Amino acid sequence: MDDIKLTLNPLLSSAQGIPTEIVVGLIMLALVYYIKRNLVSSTKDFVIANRKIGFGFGVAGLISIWTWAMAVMMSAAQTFTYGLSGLFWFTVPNGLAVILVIPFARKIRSLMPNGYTIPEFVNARFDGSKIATTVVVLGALFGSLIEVIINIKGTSLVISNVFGTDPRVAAIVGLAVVLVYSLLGGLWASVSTSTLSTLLHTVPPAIIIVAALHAAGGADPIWASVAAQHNDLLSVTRPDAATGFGITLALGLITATVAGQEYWQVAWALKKKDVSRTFLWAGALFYPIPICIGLLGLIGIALHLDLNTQLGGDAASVGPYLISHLNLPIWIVILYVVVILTACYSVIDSAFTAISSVTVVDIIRPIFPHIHERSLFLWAKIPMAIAALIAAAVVLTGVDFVTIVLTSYAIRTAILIPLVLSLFWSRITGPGFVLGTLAAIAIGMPVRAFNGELWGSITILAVSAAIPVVLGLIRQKKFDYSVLSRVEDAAVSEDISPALAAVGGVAE
Amino acid sequence: MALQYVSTGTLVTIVVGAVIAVYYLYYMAAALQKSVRDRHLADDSRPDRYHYSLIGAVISVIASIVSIAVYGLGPWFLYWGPIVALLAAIAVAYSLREEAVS
Repeated sequence: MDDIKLTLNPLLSSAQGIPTEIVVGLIMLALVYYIKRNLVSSTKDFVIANRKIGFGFGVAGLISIWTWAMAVMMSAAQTFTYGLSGLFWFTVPNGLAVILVIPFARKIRSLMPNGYTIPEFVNARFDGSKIATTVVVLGALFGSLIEVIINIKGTSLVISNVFGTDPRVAAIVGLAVVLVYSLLGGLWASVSTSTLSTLLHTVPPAIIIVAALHAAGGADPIWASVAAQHNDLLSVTRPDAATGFGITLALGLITATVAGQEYWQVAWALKKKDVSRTFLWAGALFYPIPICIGLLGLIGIALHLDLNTQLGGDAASVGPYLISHLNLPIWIVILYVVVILTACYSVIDSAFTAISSVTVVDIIRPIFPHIHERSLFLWAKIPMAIAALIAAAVVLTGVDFVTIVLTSYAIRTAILIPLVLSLFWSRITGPGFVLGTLAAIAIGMPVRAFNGELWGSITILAVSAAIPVVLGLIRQKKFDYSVLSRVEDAAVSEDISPALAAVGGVAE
Repeated sequence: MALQYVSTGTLVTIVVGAVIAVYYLYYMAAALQKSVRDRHLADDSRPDRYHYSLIGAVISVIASIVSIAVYGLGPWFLYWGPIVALLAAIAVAYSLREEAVS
């Protein structure tokens, strides 16, 4: 392996970064323009795709929405750190988190067929409890905003690392690109561009990895070099991978999907008959992406990359570093950047759509119940722009957004079990939901600060489970789930005729 | 100086990937056109009667574990990663085809 020289590809220049972002954006925009002209003409089309997303778009869309830029880079990073055990603990819970949504998605579609958002469900489930709804609205908005910020930071990180472009400019261009096409097409835009992205997350990584294996000396010397380093790097049973990050990651991933508005909105947007198998296929077909790209971590081990001197102390850089230093053809380097970019874009556009639907359904409609369709359609777009502005401000000012991250993490983890109980246990009460959630945050966050993420998560989950169960058993009152089926369609304005509303269309 | 040519293995992957991409894009376009054609139809209210969620979940998790573990069996298993990535693209294209022709 010693004859492999790692040098920065001399054909890379800072002038290539922004055009790459823009070209990818223009391709997405062309697709969305077609979508806008043919599929999106009402608020319902915009926020829930008129509940007409089919099996294929559902599978492809979900895969890409779940494939964060960091997921692409972290699969290689955890492999580089723990060997195949790292890849195992990163990959297996990831796909499983999507599959675990099935019982919840199936249940919510049968109980509340006209739903849009988690806060809307909580509001209906707990007799219009303002506190419960507010907590969940905050969790949904903060959670989606964090997804935008993290992924736009991912975009700027990769573009700046590979091409040397100013990371702030890269972030702003990336945000602008996604905002423009998201404003045009809403959830249809998110799902269709994500379908294209899924192609880019599967075929190009196969090409990139085969080329990288060759450029790093071939499969034989790479495998032999990793095997010679021992440390069980070629085993999936290293316990330190589980305790180091695996268990905590698994809990976080399950929280992200089961309590994530992005996944609930897809559950409501899919054709009813396709919900279960769509989530199953999406989870199962997500697996090959990290399994393939994670190999960059093994190549990094084989080439004895130094975490501090070559990767700047961040194992997530192993992929971008190798691709830009392995003397690969320039188009393969750009292809790798496109994979990361599309991963970022697809997560950001789905987060924009989630922010839009929560704002329309849980903030605007309750305040202005008789709002005109045109105004509602406009309000579906405004929160996307506001979210983009906040994300841009965070990136440009370099402000520490740890507080937002912790807030969204705490709320999402704390509502996980109360939310599950709300769906499956008729005795959970509004006070139980609110007290369980708030007490879990109040007790669990200090535990997390002093005892680490794992104990913090376990505490939050335990407290958020215990309080609603105890209060529910004491109260002995059962909820009539048939109430949920009578919830009206919140994105259909009264000024749309019933016939037009039935087909989900309103001419602009 | 960066090389501008690729290995035979990479070339084969490019060709296979290109064929899959064409297949994928063709059925993506077909599914999209189907969505446009069906947009004014009444909602499909057939219930979700899929019965393979649990067994499907078990199989997919086991398959993913095996796919990772085989990397440790020998050098040539490292190419299993690119192969499953291409197979995933075929499977997604199949789901798009099913949507298009349903």
